[in-house]
Amino acid sequence: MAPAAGLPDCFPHYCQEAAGHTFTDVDGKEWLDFMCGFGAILHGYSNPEIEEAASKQRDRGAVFNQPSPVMVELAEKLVSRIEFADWAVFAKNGSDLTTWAIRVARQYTQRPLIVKAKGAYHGVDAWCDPGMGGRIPSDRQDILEFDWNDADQLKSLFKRYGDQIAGVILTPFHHPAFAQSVMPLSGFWEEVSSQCQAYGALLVLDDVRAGGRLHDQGSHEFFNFAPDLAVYSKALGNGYAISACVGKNDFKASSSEVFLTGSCWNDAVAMTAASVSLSIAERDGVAGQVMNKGSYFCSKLTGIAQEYNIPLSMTGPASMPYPIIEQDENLFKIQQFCRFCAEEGLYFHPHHNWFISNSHTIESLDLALQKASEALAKLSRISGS
Amino acid sequence: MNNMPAIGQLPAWAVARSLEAMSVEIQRHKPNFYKLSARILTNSKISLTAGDEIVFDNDNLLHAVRQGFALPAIIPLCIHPIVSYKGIRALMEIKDLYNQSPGKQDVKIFFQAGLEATACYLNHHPSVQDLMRDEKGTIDCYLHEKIFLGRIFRSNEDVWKCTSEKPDTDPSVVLDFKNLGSAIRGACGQIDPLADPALGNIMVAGRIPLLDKFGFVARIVSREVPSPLQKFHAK
Repeated sequence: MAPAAGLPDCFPHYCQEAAGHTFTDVDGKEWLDFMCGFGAILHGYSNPEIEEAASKQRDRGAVFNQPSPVMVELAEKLVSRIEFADWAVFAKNGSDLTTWAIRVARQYTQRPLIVKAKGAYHGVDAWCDPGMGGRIPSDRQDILEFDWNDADQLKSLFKRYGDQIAGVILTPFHHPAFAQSVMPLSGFWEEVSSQCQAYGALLVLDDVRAGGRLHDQGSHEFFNFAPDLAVYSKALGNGYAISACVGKNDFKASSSEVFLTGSCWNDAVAMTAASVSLSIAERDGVAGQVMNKGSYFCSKLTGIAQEYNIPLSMTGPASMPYPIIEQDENLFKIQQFCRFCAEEGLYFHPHHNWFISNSHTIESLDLALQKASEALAKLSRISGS
Repeated sequence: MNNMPAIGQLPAWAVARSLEAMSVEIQRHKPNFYKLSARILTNSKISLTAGDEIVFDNDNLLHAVRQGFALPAIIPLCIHPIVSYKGIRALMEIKDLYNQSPGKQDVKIFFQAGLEATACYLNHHPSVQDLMRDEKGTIDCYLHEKIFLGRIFRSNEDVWKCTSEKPDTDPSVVLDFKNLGSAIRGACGQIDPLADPALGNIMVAGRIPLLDKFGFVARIVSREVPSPLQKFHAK
């Protein structure tokens, strides 16, 4: 079950409209939002600058026989901003390109095996999806796993299978569903990079969820390493369906050998939205802003929880925190807290990263904190009873 | 005889274990009710009584559930006519439960059948075992938040078991059915994990990935193991 599903009926299940940091469900209830389209909204819903540009492009058309100039503009923008990147390709969803990226790694190395972290989410394809249905054993026979942050385990895999490993695909920090986020230990990325280099395997960064919220030039800059390929989606188009994979020149020839196309992948409207979204992010230093807003929000929220003797922690980066309550391994308390918040019109998810957008203002965060405080008071009362 | 079903025998074994579980639950309220006892005799034969008086081959047992009647092996019946009669009467009474509008107590009985069938798959189906390899924990099921329907859990011996008695220990997941209809669908593995929570038919709390996997297995069981309850739901 995807985290988006399975929430009780006190949560909204269909959305009517959204603007900024709020949305209205089909029953007309307005919500103060902290999910941002599960990360796809970085600049706020219906951001006027993005919508105006998208609207102009829509008037000219969206999908043509050929790519539109905006594709070149967007590719150049990505390549100029992401230091290691020499080329870019586009698709619609993160999965489209995480799967394509590991095929590029296989094409380049002519090796079969891909290494990933246990519990990491890289999309909906059979090699990595967290579901259970529609799979056959061979789907994952070429996938190896290690525990996030356990560089020794990774080294053991390379030692044993080094000449068969095509690449390592990892998220910039560990953000599994239904479990707390884990930041990389000091030295982890250096070790991953060095193992990949030593064995000639590609390092693929899945920056689909975190991209744009840690660093304006890609999450690898936040953690100070350089991947060989990186995949972006979610916040890239601020709600328009687009994904991108960028890579080093060394892998350009191999990438052109791996088939890539889709019905509407040259969508000029989404590319326009992405281009404007990137410009805003750069101009306004959005990653830094959402990180600062997140830090303000997370520290205040944990402080309020502390007043109620509720050991709430916000794990992972402050711009996309994952909440946990200590000694709540089965999630009952965090779920109850989020249900109480839902009663207050506050959309917190009990087992997924929350997301801060740049349309969240200090006032809106304070309002959310006030509502959360009431929810924490209720949680405290039932916990004490 | 080792009560380890052959893979092809698993649906029939799940039926047999469910019948035993139902008889145990009925006996809790009707002490004179005859308790069935499922045993594997061979790869193709299953006994429903402790002394092997009522013996079905696998296909016949499944046929009995699908059609409402099938003949057990004749010779054991004739050798022990009194115990056989008690056993057959118990089976008929269980069958009668499905021919009436179920009440809350009946749902609890049906639930034990559903949980036990699922436990069989959790314990014996190779790909299900693989899926649940790292899962531990307990799932408690309720109706209207108050009526305890049953618990399924992985024991210390790594065996999935179920009980209808409310244990003292905290569960990992609570599944609460908000109405009788959804509980009946739950008993036969026909809960929609996407729609039912959103519609308020069920409330799920706790470690959802565990319930997610359990639900996946319950739906496999629902496809492979016949249950008269599925007909009731189809009505």
